This record gives sequence, C-alpha cells and structure tokens, in this order.
Amino acid sequence: MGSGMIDESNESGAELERLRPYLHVIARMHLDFRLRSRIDPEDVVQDVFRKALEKWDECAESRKAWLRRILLNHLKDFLDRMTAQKANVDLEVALEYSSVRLDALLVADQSSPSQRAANNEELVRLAEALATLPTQQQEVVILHRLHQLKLDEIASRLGITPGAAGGLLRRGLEALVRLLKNRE
Amino acid sequence: MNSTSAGDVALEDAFAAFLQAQETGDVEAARQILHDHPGLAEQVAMFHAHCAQVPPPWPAGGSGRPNPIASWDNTLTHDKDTDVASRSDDWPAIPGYEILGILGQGAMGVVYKARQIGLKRIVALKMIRAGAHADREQKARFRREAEAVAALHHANIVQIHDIGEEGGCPYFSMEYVGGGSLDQLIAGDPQDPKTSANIVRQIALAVQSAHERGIIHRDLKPANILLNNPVGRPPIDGALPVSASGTFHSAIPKVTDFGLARDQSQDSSLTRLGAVVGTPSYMAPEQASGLVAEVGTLADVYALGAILYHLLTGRPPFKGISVQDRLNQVKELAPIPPARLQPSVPTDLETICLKCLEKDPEKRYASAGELAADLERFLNDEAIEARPPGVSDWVNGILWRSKYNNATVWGWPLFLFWHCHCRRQYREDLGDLVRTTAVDLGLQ
Repeated sequence: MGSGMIDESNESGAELERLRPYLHVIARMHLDFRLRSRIDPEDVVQDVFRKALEKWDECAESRKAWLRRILLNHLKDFLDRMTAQKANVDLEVALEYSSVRLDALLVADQSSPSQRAANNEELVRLAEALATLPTQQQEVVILHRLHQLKLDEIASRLGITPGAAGGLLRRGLEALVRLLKNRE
Repeated sequence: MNSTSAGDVALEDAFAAFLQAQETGDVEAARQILHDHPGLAEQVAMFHAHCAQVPPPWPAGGSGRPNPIASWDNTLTHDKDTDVASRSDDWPAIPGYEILGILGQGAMGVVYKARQIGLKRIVALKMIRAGAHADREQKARFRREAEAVAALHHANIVQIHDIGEEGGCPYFSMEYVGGGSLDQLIAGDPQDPKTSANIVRQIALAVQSAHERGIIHRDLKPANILLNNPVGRPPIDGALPVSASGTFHSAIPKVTDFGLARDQSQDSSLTRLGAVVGTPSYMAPEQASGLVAEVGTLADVYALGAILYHLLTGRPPFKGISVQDRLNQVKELAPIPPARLQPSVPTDLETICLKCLEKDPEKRYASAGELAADLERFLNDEAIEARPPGVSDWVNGILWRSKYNNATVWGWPLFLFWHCHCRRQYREDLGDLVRTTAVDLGLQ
C-alpha cells in the first residue's frame, strides 16, 4: 500500500491531503473491482499526487477538478496499457467497462452541454458525499450500487459476514442519500 | 440507532438474507423472510427508496447483463428541465402522420395529436423519448407489449392502431379520446355515488378483459382514464364532457397507458424487484413495497378501488406531503372510510370500495370481474357479496387512526401505549426519511 508520503508542511501538500479521501473514492468508483488486484486505488492516488506536484502551477481551474482530471487520465493510461498487453482474458470485460466509462467522462469534461455533463456532475457530487462516509460504508456502497456486486460477493471480498455487509450497505446508503439531499 | 442488541443483529441478518434472496430472484424466500420479521418491511422499503436515488450510473460491471443505458439519467434528471416547447420544428416527422399539437408529456415520452394521412382520422401518437428504450432487447420488449395491448379490443380500452419506430424512437398511435381524463373531471369534487359505481364498473370490465390476456396495467389512476365525448357535442380539446355540476353519466371511460412506456430499463435483480413504478396514491401496498413479483392482477383491483374512492370523496385514499410519505401510508394506514368524508356514500358502496383497498391482496376481490359484478349488484339494488370489515379490522382501524385523532387517542390509552412503543422506531426513521427524501423517486 502506498502510504501517504506527501509533505504536509507546505500548502500544496496540505491541500492534497485534504482531497485524498475524495480522490480515493473516485479511483475506486471508476476502477472495476476486478482490476483492483492489478492496481491499488491508494497507489493511484499517490501517483496522481506525484504528477500534480510536478506541474502544480499549471493548474488553471479549481484544484479539485484539476486533480480529478489527472486521476481519470491516469486511470485511462493504466487501462490502455493493460489492454495493449492483452494481459488476461478474464480482465478484458472489466477493462472495457472501465474504459468506456472513463472515455465518456473525459469527453464530457472537455465539451458538451449535454446530459453527459449533468451525469458527470452527479458523479462528482456522489464522490464528494461518499468521501465523507466511513471507509467500510464507502466500499460497500461503491461495490453494491456502482459495481453492482451481490451482497455475498461483497461480504467475501471484505471478509465480513453478509449480515454485516447488509448493515453497512443500508446505513451507508441512508447516510449518503441524506448527504446528497443536504447538499442540494 | 447504533445499538447492537440481539434483536438488531437478528434484524440485520434478516435484512441480509432478504437482499440475498432478492438478488438470486428467490421471491418465495424473500416473502417468507419479510413475513417472519415484521420489522423488516420498513427497512426494506426505505432501502429501496434510497437505492432508487443512487441508481447504478453505468453498465453493470459485476454480475448481470451489461446495460448500455445510463439509468442515472432517467432517474435523476427531471423532465421539468427538458420542457419541450410547443414549436412545430421540435415535432418529429413521422411518415403517414401529420402532427397537429402536443397533448401531453411524461417521463417516458410525448403524446402528440396527429392526423393519420391515409385514413384521415385524428389519432393520439405517443413517442418514446430517445434513450428510454435504448437497447435492442428493451425495444423488442416494448414492441411485444405494444402488440399485446394492440390486440385488446374493448369499448373501454383506448385502442392502439399502429406501432412503429422513427429515428430510433419507438412510437404507437392510438384512438384519440377528446374528453379529457377522469382526473380533470373530478378536480377535487365528490361525484354522484351511482355514477361513480357505473364508471368504475366499466373500467373494471375493461381491466378484466386485459387480465384474461395476461396484461396487467400496474398504473391505473384517474389520469389514465380518458372520457369520450357524449353524443351531440363536438370534440374540443381539453373540454370535459360534463357540466360544472359534474353529471357525466353519459361519458364512456376508456383506460389508457396499459403497461406501455413504463420505465423498465432497470435490470439488475435488485432494482427489478425494488424499483417502485406507479403513482403512490393509487398504488397497492405490495407495489409500494417494491416486490414487483407480487404485483399482479390484484394490484389493479386495488387501484380500481382507489379510483372509486377518489370519485366518491373527491380525494385519493392517501395524501401525503412527499411521495415517500404516501408510500408509507399506503403500506401502513387504513383509508378513512369514504362515508366519513362524504356522508352520502351508501354503505354497500363503501364496503365494496374498502374491500378493494385491503392491504392483503387475498382479502380483495379475486378479480376485476368480481368487482364489476358486485358494482352491478349495487347498481341494481341487489345484495352485494362483499362483507363489511370484521371486529379485528375495526380495532386495527381505530389504532391506525389514533395517530391522527386525539379524541380517539384518549379513549384508547393502553392501545396507544402499545402502539407508540411498537411504532416509535419506525416514526423516527420515517421522520428522517421524509426530511431527506424530496427527490421523490422522480415521480412528482
């Protein structure tokens, strides 16, 4: 696991740390769960931080949106590499899913007043709300609602009982809906 | 809420078991679990309501068939934003039809008034919005359903003439009924009991004939009952075939929107079971619980009762500030007997109406046809078959109404104590839910 090695004593480090939960959620939202064995979302965030620090002054928009774009592009590069390697037939579907989603998001980021943009905004809102939940609730909600895993699959992935997973899901979702509501 | 008593753990496990049964499509097991754990239904209903607000934003990556529609769009983007202006350049060009105007629009599409050129007749043309049925299988399903409904021929069912597709959007053309809807007619005013009974009797017969062909409406409500124009009056758009006094006995009701153009895009086993489709005020409790597999012909019988109730009293059986509130009422509360709201409602008609509105589908009329037959008996001044509720139903009714009526509350202090004790948790949750749930499943 890439632990947080960012120097928080300066302004940029502090800002990155503040946005870590948000970016971590986004990485987990967009990375198909089957790819998690190949790439750790925490490492993704760490790489994004490194890239961001290299060109910190190039940011011309909101820092949050800028970092999100770097993250999405980083994920996209990773997916493209995996696809080019044709590493594993089992992962082909997972790669395709993640790629298609990211393509749509990256296109919408640059242009279009279409529904895609609205959809994109919803995802940002969702990620922001998710980032404030306890980690286990986040994970269960992401796997269930976004990746549509069944409850017993989630339970076995997290090494908890289905009863516990169900409780996390129910409470997580309830908290999430309340958060989304309050932000409107 | 974070206490972990043995009861909570048992309920947590029951909730998980219920979800797992849902996910594997084991409706029998899901039903059994709900039955064994009386406290679970609220949790499940709230969970489904929450799920509906966080729908999967992209194709299923895990189990299940990929679905190219981002159901996100359908659920969270409200139609109010996409107000279609009544400009003719927005209207679709459909070979064989000349579009004359917009009759209405809903979540799934727009209904146009059109002239069918060859036959020189006026039709209503419903165009399904792009994206609403985006994948091939859904289009095929829409077509199969439309064909099934087109095969229905009944004087009280709006006839479908033609099914087609233009620019990737499926459409169908149907009989144009120019007299407005029952909804517009009632406009909050109680209607004459015999006339109401006769209207619902005709609708029930139409629904029965659909049921015999395996078609369930699932969204019967006054807005889906159109009225033809009485003889001797020219069809005028928006004009009602009635005088202000509300005598509409000469109008013939026609049921529309049969199972068509309903949002069926959700296809994960969870949302398939859990998505709440319908209009809460007229929705049967089993439908409000999201148990789609349970929603059969008897849900339509319930809705027929709700329409009768609305005609008799001028209001639907349940009113609430939010959709979630109404959903909960539908599941939890007994309706106020119609005669209490409108003393002129005959006892027999009230009995018929309340039998339709029973929470337990098995206590309702066994079919829409049986309801029609009992209404006919009432109209002929014969003895009806429905019996008024028994003593236990009556006590239950008192208990439920005690939530709203202080005089009754003081008369039943012990019951109230028990009642509050059992319901407190539910009400706390409900309070939270009502506060946090204004998106209202996109139904408002």
